[in-house]
This record gives sequence, structure tokens and C-alpha cells, in this order.
Amino acid sequence: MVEEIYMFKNESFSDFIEYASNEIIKIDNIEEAFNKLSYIITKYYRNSSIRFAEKFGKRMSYIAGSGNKMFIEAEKIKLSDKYFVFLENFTFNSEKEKDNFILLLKKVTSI
Amino acid sequence: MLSKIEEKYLDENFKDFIDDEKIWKQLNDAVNPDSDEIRRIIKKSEGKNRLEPEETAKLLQVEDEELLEEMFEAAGRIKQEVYGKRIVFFAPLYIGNKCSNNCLYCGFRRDNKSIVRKTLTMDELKDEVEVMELAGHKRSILVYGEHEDYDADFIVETIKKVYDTKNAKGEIRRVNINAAPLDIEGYRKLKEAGIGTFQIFQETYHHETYRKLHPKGDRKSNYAWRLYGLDRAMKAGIDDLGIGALFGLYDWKFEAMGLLYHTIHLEETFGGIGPHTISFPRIEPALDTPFTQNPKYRVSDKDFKKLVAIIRLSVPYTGMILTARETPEVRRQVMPVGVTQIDAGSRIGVGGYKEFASALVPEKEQFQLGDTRCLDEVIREICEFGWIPSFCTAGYRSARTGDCFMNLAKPGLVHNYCMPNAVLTFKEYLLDYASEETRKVGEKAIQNILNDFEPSKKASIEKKLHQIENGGRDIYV
Repeated sequence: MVEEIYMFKNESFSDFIEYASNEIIKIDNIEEAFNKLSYIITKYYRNSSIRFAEKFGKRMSYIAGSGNKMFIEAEKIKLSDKYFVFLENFTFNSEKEKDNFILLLKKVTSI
Repeated sequence: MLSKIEEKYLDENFKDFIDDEKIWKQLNDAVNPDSDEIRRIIKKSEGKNRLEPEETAKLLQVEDEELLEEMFEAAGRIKQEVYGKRIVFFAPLYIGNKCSNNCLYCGFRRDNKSIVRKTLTMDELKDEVEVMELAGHKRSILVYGEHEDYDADFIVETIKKVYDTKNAKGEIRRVNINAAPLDIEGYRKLKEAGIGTFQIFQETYHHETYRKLHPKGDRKSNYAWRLYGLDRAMKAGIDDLGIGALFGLYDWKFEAMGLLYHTIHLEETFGGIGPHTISFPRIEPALDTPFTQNPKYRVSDKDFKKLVAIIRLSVPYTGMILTARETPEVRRQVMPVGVTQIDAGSRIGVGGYKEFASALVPEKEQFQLGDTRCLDEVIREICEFGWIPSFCTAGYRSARTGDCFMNLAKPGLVHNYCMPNAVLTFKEYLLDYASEETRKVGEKAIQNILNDFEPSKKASIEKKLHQIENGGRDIYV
């Protein structure tokens, strides 16, 4: 079970990034990677919700997601021409943390 | 070019998931249901659980007035708990009425010489959309006959034209499609174009009736190709689907069971993703279409209300569409028992929005409308009921589609998005399109609804309302 085997060593951001990167690198299917990543992210960012989408015109077609819905306005971030992420209730400690977080998400879009 | 029907559906021995005999047995076994059992079933529905066919069959056989009243009340409560006190508005837009089929009940059938055949040009389509936008519409369903001119490429062209057409502050933000079933490749093209929901009505789920009403040799005569049309849409990645039956072609209780079986089939096949909406139009008179004048299986107004409540109880979490086919009186009776979406100010003739001067443009219409009131008038009435009219199109632009939508709707959580977005989109309507009278009633309705939100939520919505008052548009959660 994924839930049992992973935990970030000391819950530091760098451990989280390292862990998530190592996990997604093993996956060659983007849907599965988004799925896995959603799960890992909402373990690290508690009380948050994330969903990944593929853009088709106006339509943002849901691919994968995780977390408890907060029913608040989501932050929409473009990961590539095709893929977007919607973040609800994320708190980043710094802009740098957010940048690195997004970089991690963007990595997946190159799968 | 329309796609070729798959070989397997041409096999006379192909077995689909609608078992006519089984449905009739379930209905017959359910006659004279025990009242305690009915109350148990209602309770199950109130827990937002989809019913099993045997349970729905029992509800369909309820005749006791007291129990019926309990069912109506429960259906209304369930709708409110799942979706909130809001009604979504949309408008149909008929693109073309050419048809290669000869369905006995349809005004657009091939042999109906009284109908003037027409397909909108792209310029005419733009004109139509501009009229709709000036009335305040934000959601539309495009409707096409089944004809080789209306293939996936043509549908894509029309979708793009609708999305591209803006008029002052007006825009159509969600385009749904009601068209003939496509192949997977065709659906993929529509998905690429950014459609909302793809809707196919089976018309009747009863095999023999389907055969009688859809002449052999016509494309539509293949029951299974149509029945599995939404499976192909799902396989192509379109995960917002609409099902429906045309009530009056066969026994209404059987059709209700058919809708439930279709729902169960989709949920079981696609990991819990069932229909996004269920439609239940009743047959209406159509020009030079004798079948529609006095159909044997006409559904009475009383049974219609019962039918709508039972669909709500059977599938507590799915959107339900009541159209302007019905008269204002019927809509007032039926809306409170579970309806989530209605149309208003609709024109169902090809080119009808621009041409409209009277209530009817019969020579280009598929059937007659029952509610010809303008959008503003219907909106006002909805407010007077204590509900909020909604033009929300946020879900499919925020990745709340398919599985994500179902995970919100099934536990009854989707109202947490629906209600704020209803208020915000309604505010836009009031500022940009409403008559003075409707604006007054509408502002009062918004104030009343705001008091239902907990304080932090209320404050957040009020902040967004101020943004809209200051010129902001298309603000949603």
C-alpha cells in the first residue's frame, strides 16, 4: 500500500520534492503520474485539494485529483499548452517553494 | 460522412443490457407495494443512494396519495440537498432539421413534406447566437437532425462558431450537443472542440416499440448503435453524458426503468460515472405528424409528476432537465420534485431566435412548445419560488467533470459550488439583461439566499458580488 510505505523523512519540502520526483520518474503514463502525484501532494499539503486537467477549448477535462474539497476558488495554473492544475487551499512558505512545486508538476507533463 | 455502424450491432442476436421481459416482471412483481417498504426505499434515496431496479419498480407502482406526497416531498428535499435552491437555465439552438430517418413521431422525419428544411449557415448561426446572448443566455444545447450533412466535422465547426460569437457582454460559455450517435473518432473531434455534455435520447427503451417506430433500413433503426452511443462517447473521453427517453412512445413505467438500467450500465462500465443529466420530454404535437396527435401511451400530468419524482429518488445525484415543451402550469408543478435545469425563451425552429415574432414558427419546428414565456419572465417566477436562477458554467471549466463531478454529486456536496456560482451568474444577469421588475425581485432573492450561507462563505460571495457590480464578469468558484 502506497499509504503505508511513504512518508517524507522529516516532512521538509526538499524531502517531499525528492520523494515525489523519485516516484513519478518510475511512471510512463501521464494519467497515472498525475494520480500518484495528487496523492503525494495532498499528504504533504494537508487540508488542500488538487486536480489535474487537460484543456479542450473551454473544457477542462478532469484527469486526476485528490484531497478534501474546500469549496473555495481554486488557483488555476498552466503547466503546458495542454495541461492545467487547480489548487484549493494551498499555503506555500515562500514564492520559491511555490516555483519549485510547480516545476515538479510541469515535469510530469513531459512524460 | 456519417460513420459506419459497427458489425456487432448489426447482428440480430446481439444482446444489450435492456431486458424487456425482466423489466416487465419487476414491474408486475411490484404491484401493490407495502407502505413500510416504500418508506424504506425513500429513506435510502434520501441517503443519496441510487436505487436498484426492483426498488424503483415498487415506487412506480405506488398509487396511495399519502405515499405519493411523501415521495414528492422527499424528491424535492433531495434535489435541494444535492444541488441547492437553484435552477440552471439553458437554451436549445436548432442547427439543422434535415433528417435521413423516418421516425413516426418526429416532425423532422424524412417524409414530412410540410417541414421547410433548413441548415444554418455559419453567418446565420452567429446571428442566432447573438440574439440568445442579448437575452442573457450562457449555456446552450445545439440540436441537429440525423443527416450526412451533420457529421462530426460539421458539428465541430458549429461549436467553434458558437464559442467564438460574442455580443457586448454576452457569450455562450458552455455548448452541449444533442446529435445522432457518432463513432469514437467523431466524439474525439467534439471533445477537442471543448463540448460540455453529449446527449442522446434512446426515445424508447422497449425493443419492439423501437422497431415499430423506426423504419427498417433507416440508420436510427439500429437500437443498439444508439443505446451504446454514450459508451463510445465515454471511450473517446467525453465524460459528461446526457440520457433521455421520449415519454409517450411506450409505457412510461417501462421507460423509467430503462433510464435506470442505462444509468446502472454506464456506472458499472465506467467506474461509477453515470449520466450527468437525465431528460424526460413528453411527446408533443408536431406539424403533419399524426402519431403525435393522440398517442396511446400519452403520460398524464399526474403521472408525469410522479415520474419526475421517481427519477429523482432513483438517481438522487444526477441532473434532471425539464424543458419548455411543458406548459407553465406543469412546470410549476413538476420543478419542485427534483428538477435541476430548465430552458426558457427557447426557439425550436431552425433560425427561430432571429425570426421569432410570434410564439411559433411551425414549418421549421420539431414539435410545439408549451411554455413560450420569455427568459426574463421565467427568471422572475423562479425567484418568487425562493430559488436562484443559475447560468453557471464553472464546473466543466474548473475540471469538475466526469469522475470529479460524480464524487461531488453522489455525496450531495456539489451544492457547495452550485449555490455560490448560481448567485454570481445571476447577479451578472440582473445587471446586464434583466427588466427593472425582475431586477428588483432578483436582488431580493439574492439577499435572501445569502443569509443561508455561513458567515465566511457569505462574506466571500459578497466580495465577488462587489467585483461584478464594479464590472467584473465570469467570476466563479
